[in-house]
Amino acid sequence: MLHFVVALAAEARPLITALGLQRDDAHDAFPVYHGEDPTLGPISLVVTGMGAALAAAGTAHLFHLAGGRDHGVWINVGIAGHPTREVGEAVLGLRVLDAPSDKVFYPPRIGPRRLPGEQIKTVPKVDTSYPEGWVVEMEASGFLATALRYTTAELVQVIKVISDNRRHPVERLDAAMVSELITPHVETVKQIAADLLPHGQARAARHAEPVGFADLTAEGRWSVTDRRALRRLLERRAMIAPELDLPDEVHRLWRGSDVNRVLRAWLDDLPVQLGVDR
Amino acid sequence: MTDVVYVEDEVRDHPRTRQILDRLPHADVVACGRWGEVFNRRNQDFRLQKRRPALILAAKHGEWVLPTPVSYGIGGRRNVYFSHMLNCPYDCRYCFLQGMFRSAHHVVFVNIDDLFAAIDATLAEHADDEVYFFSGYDCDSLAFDRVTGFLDTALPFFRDRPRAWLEIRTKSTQTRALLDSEPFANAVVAYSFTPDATARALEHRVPSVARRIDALATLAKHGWAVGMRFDPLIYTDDYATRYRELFEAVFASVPDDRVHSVSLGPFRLPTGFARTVEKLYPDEPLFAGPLEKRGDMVSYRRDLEEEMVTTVTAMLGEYADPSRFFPCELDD
Repeated sequence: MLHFVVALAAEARPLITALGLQRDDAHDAFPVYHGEDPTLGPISLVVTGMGAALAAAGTAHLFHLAGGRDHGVWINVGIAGHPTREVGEAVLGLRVLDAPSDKVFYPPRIGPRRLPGEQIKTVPKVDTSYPEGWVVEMEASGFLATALRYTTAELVQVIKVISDNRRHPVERLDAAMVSELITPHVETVKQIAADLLPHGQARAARHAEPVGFADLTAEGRWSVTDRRALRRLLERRAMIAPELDLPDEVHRLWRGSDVNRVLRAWLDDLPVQLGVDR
Repeated sequence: MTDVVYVEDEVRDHPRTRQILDRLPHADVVACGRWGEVFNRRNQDFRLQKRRPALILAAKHGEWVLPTPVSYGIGGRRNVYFSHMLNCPYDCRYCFLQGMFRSAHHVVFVNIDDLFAAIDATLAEHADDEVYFFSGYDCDSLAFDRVTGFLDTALPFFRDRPRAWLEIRTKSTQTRALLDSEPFANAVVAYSFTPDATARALEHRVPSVARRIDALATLAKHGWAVGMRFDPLIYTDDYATRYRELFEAVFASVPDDRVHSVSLGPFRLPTGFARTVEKLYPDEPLFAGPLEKRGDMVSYRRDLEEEMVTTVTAMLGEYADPSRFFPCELDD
């Protein structure tokens, strides 16, 4: 699943429009939108309000609405300042510094280089000093600190569009201008999401219960250790003998450790194929 | 391929940092405090990062030169290793690095003058003896050399120190630095092999066995002493046939007098590493094989391991001069 976290309604609007998202009226802690894109699958978006604390809270809210851990992709999209980059340029955060705490995040980029990488400084209030070498904004660190609890770092990304610089300072911005800044980059945002989503799905598959697990553990006596061992044995079976039925004996045994013993012996007798087309 | 480079603040102005960055003009360069801030973070996915690892340029502090495991040797009494780099661009499913490190990023230590000082100190400690320095323990010695340029500095250094043996262990066919250099007596370029079909199944993004054999032959012809490393031994039902074919091809390519050493080693992973790797690759047939936990290691079942080592050792005896063959010890 794809999750967007944005601070302002004006930042969200281009994404909501392009992805056909609908407002979820059942929850009023934060404005939340849902939708389904033919390419990207299910999408949710939360409008958090400005600041790292609200970004963190909104991210957590969206996570719980989505039903918990799902190996999803999380993207924070928003506007930011930079001393020299042109207004309208988009960048991907490769280093995010939470200025008040000096805590640093390094979101890894595992997809193609669709946007230039930048270092981002999250500040607690509007900063017009435009420090050299930094993209400055107010949400990324709060978003990352929370989203990184839910999925792996590679699937959590920060995309910022430069809204102001030394020549065009922040005072001149209004909501319409913010939406206009985001709109040209929606396709790139979608591409970055599309790059990452298959990896989230692959991770979900890696963590999924192997075939036969629920059936075998539905009855009998299974310790946590036995369950863990069974899982690994069934994963082995899925690799080397997915077409074979499990030995009948395992369905007649009561103790998990006995089931595992029989399964292990059965698997050990199967040939190992490496580099041979099955 | 490298399009993100993290640079430790400490080495930002180091000349080797500048050299490496000059070779990567299109990369995004990001500052970092200490390399561990990026490399050792929790909640990273080694498997995902392996798709497009970043490069971290850093300074190494602490011990540069460390003793190898006891069984790790090619004829010398003093065996040590050093790591000018961590991780490797290849993706071999049996590799212990994927279980040891949280990150697949490549870490290159640029303060190699400190490494060379540590090597000299080690030589001074063993003033009457030769010391074997293994450079391909935490990385592939050669695969990233086009970026690091390590050998351009390391080869002259070792050439001037005849008591310091250098083993360059690799699967890479990027041999320019070696072919541009005059061979010297105290260096061994050692190629790692598994049989072709096994390599195709387990060694991803690695030059084919045929290309590695070509590179080995070219280096031998150029005058370098070469080594063959059949490590780890990988079990398949037809392993004997596979290894026979591999040995035929490898030993036919190099004249006997250029072979410095031949070694083999069983497949073993520390239990913790094996658990990590299994979780990363639950769909990997290698780990569906007849493995067992013995002590604090995961390895092939003892009977299979003994059979395989005995069979392959006997086979190697037909190809390798016994004085240059260093079989593994099957101690537990």
